[in-house]
Amino acid sequence: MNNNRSATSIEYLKSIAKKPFLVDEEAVSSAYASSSKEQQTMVIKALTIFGALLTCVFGIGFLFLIGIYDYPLFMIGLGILLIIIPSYLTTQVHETFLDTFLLSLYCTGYGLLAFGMSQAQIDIKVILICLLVVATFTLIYLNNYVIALIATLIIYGCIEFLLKEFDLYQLFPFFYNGIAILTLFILTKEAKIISYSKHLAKIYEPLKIASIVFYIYKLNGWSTFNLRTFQVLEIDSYSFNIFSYSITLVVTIGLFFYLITKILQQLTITNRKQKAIIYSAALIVLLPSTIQPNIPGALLLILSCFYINYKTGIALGILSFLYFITRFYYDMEVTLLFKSIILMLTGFLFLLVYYLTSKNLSAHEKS
Amino acid sequence: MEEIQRKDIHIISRHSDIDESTLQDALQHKIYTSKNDWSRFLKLLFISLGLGFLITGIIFFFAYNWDDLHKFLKLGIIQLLIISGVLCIVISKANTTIKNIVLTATSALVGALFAVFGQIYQTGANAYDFFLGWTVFITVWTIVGYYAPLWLLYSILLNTTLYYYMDQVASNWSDTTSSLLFLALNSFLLISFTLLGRIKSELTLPNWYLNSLAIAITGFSTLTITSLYDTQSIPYTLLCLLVVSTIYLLGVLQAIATKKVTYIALMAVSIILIAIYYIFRIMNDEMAIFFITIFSIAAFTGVIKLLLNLQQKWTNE
Repeated sequence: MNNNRSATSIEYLKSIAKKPFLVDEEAVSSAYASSSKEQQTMVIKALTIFGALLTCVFGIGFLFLIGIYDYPLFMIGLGILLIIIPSYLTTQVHETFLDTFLLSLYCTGYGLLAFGMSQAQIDIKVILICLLVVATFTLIYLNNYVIALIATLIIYGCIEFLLKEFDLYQLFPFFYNGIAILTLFILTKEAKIISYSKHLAKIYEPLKIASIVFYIYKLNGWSTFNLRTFQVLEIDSYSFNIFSYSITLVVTIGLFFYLITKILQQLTITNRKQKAIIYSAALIVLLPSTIQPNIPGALLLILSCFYINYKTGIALGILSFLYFITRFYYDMEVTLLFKSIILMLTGFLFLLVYYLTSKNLSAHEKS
Repeated sequence: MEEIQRKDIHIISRHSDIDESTLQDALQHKIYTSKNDWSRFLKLLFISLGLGFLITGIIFFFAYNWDDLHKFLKLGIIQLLIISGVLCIVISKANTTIKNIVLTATSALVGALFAVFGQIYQTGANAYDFFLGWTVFITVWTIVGYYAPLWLLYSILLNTTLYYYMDQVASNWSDTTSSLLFLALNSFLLISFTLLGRIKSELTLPNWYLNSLAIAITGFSTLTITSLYDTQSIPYTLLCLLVVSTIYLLGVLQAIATKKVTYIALMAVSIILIAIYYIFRIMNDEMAIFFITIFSIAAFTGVIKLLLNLQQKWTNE
């Protein structure tokens, strides 16, 4: 059955190819064989991660109890060993059930490295840079799905904490807008990335989901943004200013128009008048939601994941959109009456758009 | 011919030198969402956002004016909504799914009605009575409607009623008894639904609901067995062990019959957690954590290997 599958796929690709290409058919067959052997359900994957994390917690707990705190150099050494050895083993061994074991050692390694360095009184900036370097090496040299996911999240997190530690608050708007642009690039330029190199093709999936998760995390930072005072009411945070707000606005609207252009291409809508209507409708719908930039950000995520038909991303986008809207209305310091009027007006706006476009859209459905 | 999936394009591109534009075309034509799906999605998006915002706005409006409403008006509005919901279900010609959604919403409104009644007439903060009343009054609707989300609401209400009963009425029962009763309640539901599903296939409920029950059951069974450590009575310990073993045995039989690993995975996690708890309580020192770490790694690795083998055997049959 898998041979059929690969044959039809290769045939299809050959039929639409603009230039001839070579396929290593044996490698393709063996890739199919190994992927069907490792057919894991969500249940087993979840069990793997749960078991790995639980064991990691017990392991570190035990080491702390027997007083490894007093031997920071030993912790650092053990941490490095626990990162390198399982990483090497994942390239040699391809049994999925060993992944749990190796993964828990890998996570324990990171924990020990970080704790050991902090016990050795090393400056936190150096710790973050070390973790960043280790994670980058892991990302470059390893192909394992879960390790690539964890490494990407560690890299993003380290950059964020480094910016905070070096007091480079002015760079923050560039950082989270950069994350937005990077995430959208990863989502829409799938063909470019997987054809660039075999390694990138293998870590594309974990890279995608790690970027989406971190993007949602950065969007959440806007949750308590108040447009009047440009303050963010969170404990350990910094205030936004008009500069960061305007940059975010420009980037978000820019990314939206880029996405709409791609979608219009996909829907083969070339009529100028229709295009103009859609662009202006998008602008009208977007404008009120820019009071808090994370709402159009979540909308961007939903639309782009829907465009590339990535169901997990769509679900995450919808959940975060609902969460941000709920927090927006919950935190607003206006009367219930005012909130109810805004909500009803927004509802009317969407229903109006629905009635205006439903004829058009149904025509597309029938054809 | 099977439809090409993303996985196919990824595997082939890894082992060939296909250029980017061919891959882009393949992705756009075969994987990315088509025009049809876009129009359905946009229509659904606009109408759900529109209705959602509108209804929330109306609810907020009532909330703002709530204190100024006369008490008959408050009760009257909710009763009107419930009556119109029921009329809609009985009379209208909409499809079954919409009717089921309206039934679920109406069942939730019954709870709102009782809550508002308690708030107006200050009947005292008796949560047990409230949940018991709510549960009793939607029993007939739940059984007749037989709709999974409504059964979920009903199951949550049953558990909450039991919780408040033990909290406010029978507060001297031990932890073991509480867990055992919760276990009995949820197992009764799961076993009944499974048997009903086997007898009449129209009566099967979706997996997400049955798995939620299964998760609750494994949680409560873990709590029951771990709380046995502090129990003194031997016959009671034997009873609990017997109940849990029977339930787990039934779970294994059902897993074999349906060829799904979910139940086995849940029971394995439960047994591992119970073992970890007992190792910790019996040894009670730092070396216990060491043994627990080793045991945890070995146990999880073993269980995952077992599950993978089972799954492979079952998908190949």
